[in-house]
Amino acid sequence: MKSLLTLLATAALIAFMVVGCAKKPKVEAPTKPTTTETKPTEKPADQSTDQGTTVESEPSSKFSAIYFDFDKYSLRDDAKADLKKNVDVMKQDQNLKVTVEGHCDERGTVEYNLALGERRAKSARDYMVNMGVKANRVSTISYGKERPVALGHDEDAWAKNRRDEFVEK
Amino acid sequence: MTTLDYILTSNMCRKTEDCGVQKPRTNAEWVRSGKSACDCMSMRSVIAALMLMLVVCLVAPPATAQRGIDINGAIRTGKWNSYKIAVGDFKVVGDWSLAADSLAAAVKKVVTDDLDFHVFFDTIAVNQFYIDVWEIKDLTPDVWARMGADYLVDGTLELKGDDVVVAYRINELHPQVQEMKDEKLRTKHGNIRRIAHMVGDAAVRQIAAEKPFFTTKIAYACAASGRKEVWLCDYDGANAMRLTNDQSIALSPCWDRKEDKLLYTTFKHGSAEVWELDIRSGKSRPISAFPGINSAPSISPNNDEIAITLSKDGNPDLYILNRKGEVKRRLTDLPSSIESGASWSPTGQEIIFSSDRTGTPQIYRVDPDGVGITRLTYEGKYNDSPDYSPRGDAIVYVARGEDGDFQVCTIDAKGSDFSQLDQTGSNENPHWSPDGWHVVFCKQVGAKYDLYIMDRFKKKIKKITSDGKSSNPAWQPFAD
Repeated sequence: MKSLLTLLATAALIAFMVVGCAKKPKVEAPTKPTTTETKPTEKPADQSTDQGTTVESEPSSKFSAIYFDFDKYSLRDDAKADLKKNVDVMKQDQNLKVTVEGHCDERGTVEYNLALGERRAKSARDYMVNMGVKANRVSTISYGKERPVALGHDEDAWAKNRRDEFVEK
Repeated sequence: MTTLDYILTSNMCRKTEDCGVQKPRTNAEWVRSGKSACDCMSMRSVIAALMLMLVVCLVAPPATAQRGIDINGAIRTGKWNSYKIAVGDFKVVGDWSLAADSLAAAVKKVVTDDLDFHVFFDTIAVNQFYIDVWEIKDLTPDVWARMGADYLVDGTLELKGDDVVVAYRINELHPQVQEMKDEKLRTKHGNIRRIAHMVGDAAVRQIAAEKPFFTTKIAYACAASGRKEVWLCDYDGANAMRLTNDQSIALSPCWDRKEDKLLYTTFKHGSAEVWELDIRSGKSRPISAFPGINSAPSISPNNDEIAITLSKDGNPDLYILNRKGEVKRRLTDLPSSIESGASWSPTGQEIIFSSDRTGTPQIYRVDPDGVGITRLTYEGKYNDSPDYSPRGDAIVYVARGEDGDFQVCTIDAKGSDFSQLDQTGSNENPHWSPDGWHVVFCKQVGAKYDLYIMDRFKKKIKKITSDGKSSNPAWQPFAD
């Protein structure tokens, strides 16, 4: 009796497994997306349409852009040096007015980066005002992460995008 | 009816003539087969029968299907005993045509996809082995029950001129087959997905006693037209259409709680301003255009107030505006930190937001009058983009991991009970579904940004856009 039960249980198990296999061809594939699907095929195509990774912005500008560390708006030494040059430009031509555009890299949310971009712009403005430029000659605007200058998705591109640009009004 | 009217969801659609609902008495075609599967089988061998009976015992659910899920138990254990539902055919009745046949197939597909995604449901597929062995001709409710389904939704489809009539029925299969609901829905051809979503909605309402969301929409930002504009799609990504034409940068949509309106952030006049867009008319008006940034609006549950980030006083802080955009009060006042990403609790008694007052962004809560600021997240250096569940029990947000990627995580309203929803790619802007059991978020894979939806517990995930340029989703709330 016991062996019969064992036999039946084994048979059931086999049948169960067969059911599992047999139904596969007819079963509609579950709609789980494979997150890796886009990686291998689409990345190269993308980079070619991105016209390289970097687009030079306003090469003829009188001003130098300055750069920031990730999630920071404090001015690095290299940024201060470039800001001093920008202040000199402003002092040489008293009619010049400038808008400081604050930008961020693509990481983090749209909303937080909008605020971060504004603080980057204001850091530069405050520095220039402290160096003697009249406050009404320097305005600020933040584009957050919406206007990257480098279109890659690595630290190289991000470092170029965490920036203030100085646009003559 | 315009295309936009089709695409727009109002949860009151049942009242419109387009979806005119007639309640038929039991239809002759729907008379249940009184026979059990055993009556119609031709036995091949005793062994096969014995084996199959055991198989049936193994795969068949308990004789009585439990209605009502122990939600708290499920949250505690993470185990989810789903409703096993089969989606049968929608048979063409009246004059058969290829058009009718493909519409019927489309209805079945949409209903299946809907229910398969819903956290409370698993769909049961045809067990071909069982069908072959027992030489089953018709997928009757009894056959579905033996293949493991607790519930069955199927129906008929008939073309009447430009109209389509879909008649569906929902059956409970245990302990015996019993009809729970049947209904006829009539619509135009182009609206067939919406009708199918309404069938799915009916199943959720009837079986799980939950408010369904299959006819809701998702607003989002998309750069497929060149510039980033605000777009709208069905919850499953279908019927995507562009709403704004600002030709600058438009993003961060936020739904009005009652009407088909969105607040959103636009750069059309230079810097970031918040405008209100009437989706039906396409008209928009400025709400918040103070100097500096105006961004990240969130409308209060009573629909009267807007929590928003403004920098008009020098630093990005949270303010409360009325719906005209006048400042009612200031919520935060720290001179050197960013306060952003406000989201109201469903009671309106709390607002959560992110602040970098400790150096990096973390999630905080505050009373709507600006007192009682409490920090909620301590793990990790970068926690942002909080959204308060419409159920009031959880907060979804993004956390930056050690590898630098951002992941969608949840905590409870007190900041405990941490859970990570998805492990792949880098993700941002999670937003709850109106039922609070699912989320939509933006996932970056390589250079592509697309929207995904997933449920909170079983973590079934589904990609809903494929343009590679979609972000910033906001799921339409229930209209109530």
